[in-house]
Amino acid sequence: MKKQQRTVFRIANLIYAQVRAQEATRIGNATAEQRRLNSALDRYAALCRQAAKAHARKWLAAAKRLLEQANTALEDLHYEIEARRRQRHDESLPLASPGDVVRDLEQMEAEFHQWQCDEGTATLSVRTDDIELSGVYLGAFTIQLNLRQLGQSDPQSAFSIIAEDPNPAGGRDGVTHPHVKDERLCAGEALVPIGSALQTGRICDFFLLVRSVLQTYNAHSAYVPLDNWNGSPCQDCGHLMDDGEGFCCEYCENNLCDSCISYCRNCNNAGCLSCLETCPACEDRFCPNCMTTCSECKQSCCGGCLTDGLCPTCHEEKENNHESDEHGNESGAVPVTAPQHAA
Amino acid sequence: MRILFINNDGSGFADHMEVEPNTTVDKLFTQQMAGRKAEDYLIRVNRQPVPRDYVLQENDRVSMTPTKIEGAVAA
Repeated sequence: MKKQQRTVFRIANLIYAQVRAQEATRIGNATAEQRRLNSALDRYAALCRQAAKAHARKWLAAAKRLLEQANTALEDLHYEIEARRRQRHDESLPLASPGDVVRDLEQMEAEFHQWQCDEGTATLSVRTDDIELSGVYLGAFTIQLNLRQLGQSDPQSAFSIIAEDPNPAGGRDGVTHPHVKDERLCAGEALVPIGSALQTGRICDFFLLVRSVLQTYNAHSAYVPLDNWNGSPCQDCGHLMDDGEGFCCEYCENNLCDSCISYCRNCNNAGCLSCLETCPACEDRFCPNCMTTCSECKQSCCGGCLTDGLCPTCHEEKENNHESDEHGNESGAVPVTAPQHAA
Repeated sequence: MRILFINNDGSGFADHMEVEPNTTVDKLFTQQMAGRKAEDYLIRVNRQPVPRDYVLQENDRVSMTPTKIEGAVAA
């Protein structure tokens, strides 16, 4: 469907104006770079002249010192030349005219079936077809470009990726695609060409590049690998488990992975590390129902470690006291009582 | 003859270049994208899909955009 021509021309002029504004900023930056390069050149030349004078006057130590400074200045000069050379390439990129932008919008209709523009928010959007990667359905995405952010130093901040039929990674609602988090694409190898396309107003190339990233899976650098996409996270460590893979704590009913689940050594019920208690005597884990308390010190202890209702520590103390009493009776010693003083 | 060539692979090169008369799109791709497969690219001349044996004309706008580009995660 053809858009109304006036709307198309308005959008084209908006894009063109943004591109030209960014070009003005780049020219300003280039002028500043040029001044820094000139300063570095002047400093190097001055040091070389001073070194030559010092050498002519046989001030060899001074000449040597000045040459060392000149070498350092030469490194700085080299750095400034390289920076200027990189900028020079960006400045030579041909900018799109309003007519080029109109033709780009026409091409976008052919490549994406339709595009949407919100002149109030100055956003231009296209919608991809449904995307499925490695057997995982991710749905269609809307690529929404903020026309006022064209040519920003961080191209990825100029656009958003909105999931239209979200199938986010398990436990991570913000990850709707292996390379999209919180509606922000990490463009990887496409970052430089995307930046170049936005900088020069090649809008259709921008959308095509973003679509190419969305249609490709890089298993080596994904927010969530597709192998772990479907499933639920362990409530303790966050590890993603496939459906039906986890274990349920009998007490809090949380879902846990096989590394985080444990069991009561007495009744064998499954439990998480938060719900099970550790017996201080044998250091095994027990559920709250199988733990009891020492009748003397009231410390929690498993039933297996209690003797006559006493924990090992209290029982040993009792045994020691009992032995002491018995030894005292066998020796015939008369218990000594304190003398009674008259009141 | 002069054409505008936009290579959206790698650095996003876009500049005018000289090509021999009667150069086809297929030949240009082989010259500029050595080692790559044409089916992995969207090739457009003047923003339109063209057959491989299309002969380039003066001032044609040729773009080549990979259909598979690896994304990443933010550092």
